[in-house]
Amino acid sequence: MLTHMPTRSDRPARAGFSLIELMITIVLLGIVMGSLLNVILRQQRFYRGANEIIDTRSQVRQAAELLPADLRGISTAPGAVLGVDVADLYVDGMGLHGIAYRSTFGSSVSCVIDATRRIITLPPLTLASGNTLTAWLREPAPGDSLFIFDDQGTPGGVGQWVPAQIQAVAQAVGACPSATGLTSAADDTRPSWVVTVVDALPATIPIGNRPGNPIRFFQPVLYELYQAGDGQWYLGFADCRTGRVPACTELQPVAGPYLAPSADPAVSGLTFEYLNENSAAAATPQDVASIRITFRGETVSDVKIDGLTTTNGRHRSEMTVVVGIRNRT
Amino acid sequence: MRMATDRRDGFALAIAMFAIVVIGAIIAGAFFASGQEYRVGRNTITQARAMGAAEAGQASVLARWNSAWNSSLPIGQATGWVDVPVNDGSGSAARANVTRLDQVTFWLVSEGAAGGTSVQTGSRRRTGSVLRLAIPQMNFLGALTTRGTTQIGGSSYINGNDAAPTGWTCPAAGPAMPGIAIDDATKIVTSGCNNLDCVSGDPKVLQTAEAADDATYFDYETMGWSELVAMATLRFDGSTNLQNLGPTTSGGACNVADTKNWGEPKRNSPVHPCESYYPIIYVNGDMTLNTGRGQGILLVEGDLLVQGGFEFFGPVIVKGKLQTAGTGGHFNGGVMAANVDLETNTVLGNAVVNYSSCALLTVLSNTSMPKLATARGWADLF
Repeated sequence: MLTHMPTRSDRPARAGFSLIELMITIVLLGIVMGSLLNVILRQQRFYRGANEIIDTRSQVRQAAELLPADLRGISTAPGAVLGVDVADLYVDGMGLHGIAYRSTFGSSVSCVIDATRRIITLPPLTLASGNTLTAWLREPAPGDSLFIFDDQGTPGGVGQWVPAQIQAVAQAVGACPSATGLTSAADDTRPSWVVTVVDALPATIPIGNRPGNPIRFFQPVLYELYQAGDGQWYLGFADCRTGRVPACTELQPVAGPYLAPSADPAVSGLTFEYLNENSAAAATPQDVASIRITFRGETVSDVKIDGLTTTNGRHRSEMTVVVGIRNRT
Repeated sequence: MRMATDRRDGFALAIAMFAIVVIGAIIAGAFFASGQEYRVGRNTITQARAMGAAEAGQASVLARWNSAWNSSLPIGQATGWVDVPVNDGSGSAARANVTRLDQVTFWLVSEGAAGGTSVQTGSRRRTGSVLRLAIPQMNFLGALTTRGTTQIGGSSYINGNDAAPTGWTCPAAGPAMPGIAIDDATKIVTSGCNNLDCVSGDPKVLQTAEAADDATYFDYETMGWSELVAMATLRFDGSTNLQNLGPTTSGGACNVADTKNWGEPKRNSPVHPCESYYPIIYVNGDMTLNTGRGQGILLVEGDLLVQGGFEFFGPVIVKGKLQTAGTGGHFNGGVMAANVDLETNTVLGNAVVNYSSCALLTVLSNTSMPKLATARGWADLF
């Protein structure tokens, strides 16, 4: 059956929107758009705020992970050897917003000590056995220092750690031979480290192959809350090395920003508390059994998230870590 | 009926789609950021667990120290990696490797692992410790250190010249020690030992106030008498009389349950299982020993009477008086008789007291437990 298809001209005329219809439509559309925009803006605010909170917490956590790893191994044992305090924590280094101490960045054992008692050969960093006799964060360099254990000729005695300044560092393949027992034949092709110290070690330290004296490499370091050029407060780090000019580097930011330092520990960006074994304030480095560190940061701009606590519109994050000192006696 | 021609161009759908996309992007961003935060937090926990496992591994090795390492692990050699139980409920694991650095020093490396083996979620940390055998620093002032009246004579021989027991692996002998160290040399009474011919050493007799000091007998720097007594592996209460002491085995191993087995001081080929057995013997009373042999540390709360040629290798400390008679006793190492009751020590008969730094150090190092080296024994291995 043939059907007549209507053409455009055949369509019946339709009335347009009335003004009222149009206004209702616009109002409704406005309400919908407004609601939508509100939702989007709230989402944006939440997203930005959440990101800022995450950034702040990340900065706080970064330092909270960095410092304990460095502080855990310091020594607070009393005494002095060759005029050098055994304690790594300096008397004037126990600051409220900073800490200065002797930082151990490596450890090893002596494989060979030459007859002059100035040249110490160390086992390679990696051994075929998978054992770890030498490990460090960075290679020792001239101007760094080391402590070497000396039993003072009394096997089983308390012994002491003798300080020495490093004059030169070199590598030599096979310098720690398998004959010492510390390495195997498979290690003979691996580079060993040869450290020359400025002054001869005490005569109570044996010479020749396999003396087996434990060694610690160290350098003085400073961590401090400081104000950088951008006006923000950061955790700064500086290290020192004898013979370098200047001996100590300028503070460089390693984490932050944090709140400004304050005499009030409750609002300070970084606070160190030095505690004795009874968790009371320690008076001297030798009394320090643990260090409580508190970091505080805040978002760089105002944060508006329902239910979130803010101070002057900004959200503050803080983290406290207590570092137990491992080497106390 | 709705006609197809009623279609009207609109933009609600487009707006809705746009809004959904924008909100979706924001939510996705927030999820990404929170996901990152979660991962960082999880990794932090995993690292902390790995560190905890490494330290638990160290503590475990120390708590379960294998004293056989004291004698059997050659200098420079390592035990190899050994799995160590952690049991912290998180699935963390630890393994440890102990290297002997010298006669009394060990290097313990502990590796903790947490979060599985995945590179993304797993974490490993290593820590190291310098361990030193806490050897009691006994202040033997001579072959025989005593105070009060001491009678020597007969065929006895007191020798301060340092010498290693036959077959024992030892460092070079040290300088000669006094034969007798005593607080007052006039209290030495001889009986057939004219001109102190039965005493050798440099000097033969040392008169020193240290011999009168209780600390010489009971304070050993790393520990005291009571701590040493607490470490005793063989304990006898009341007056005890033992005869024919000697090494015994059970199933091919040294029979440490036998209270008359005080180790094998003779070095044999093949090696006797009890050659590496060094008991700490504590007698809470008087002790009489008659024939046989042994090695270790002998601590007597009361008096010690030795006869029948009983041989002992290692330090002997007697709170009361020392008496030897008949074929006497043969001591290799050193003897301290505190003589707290100020009775008369008598070293008569065929008694022999030989000073031996080798016997002292070997016995003391084999009976000691390790402790963290002073000041900076612990180290993070990064």
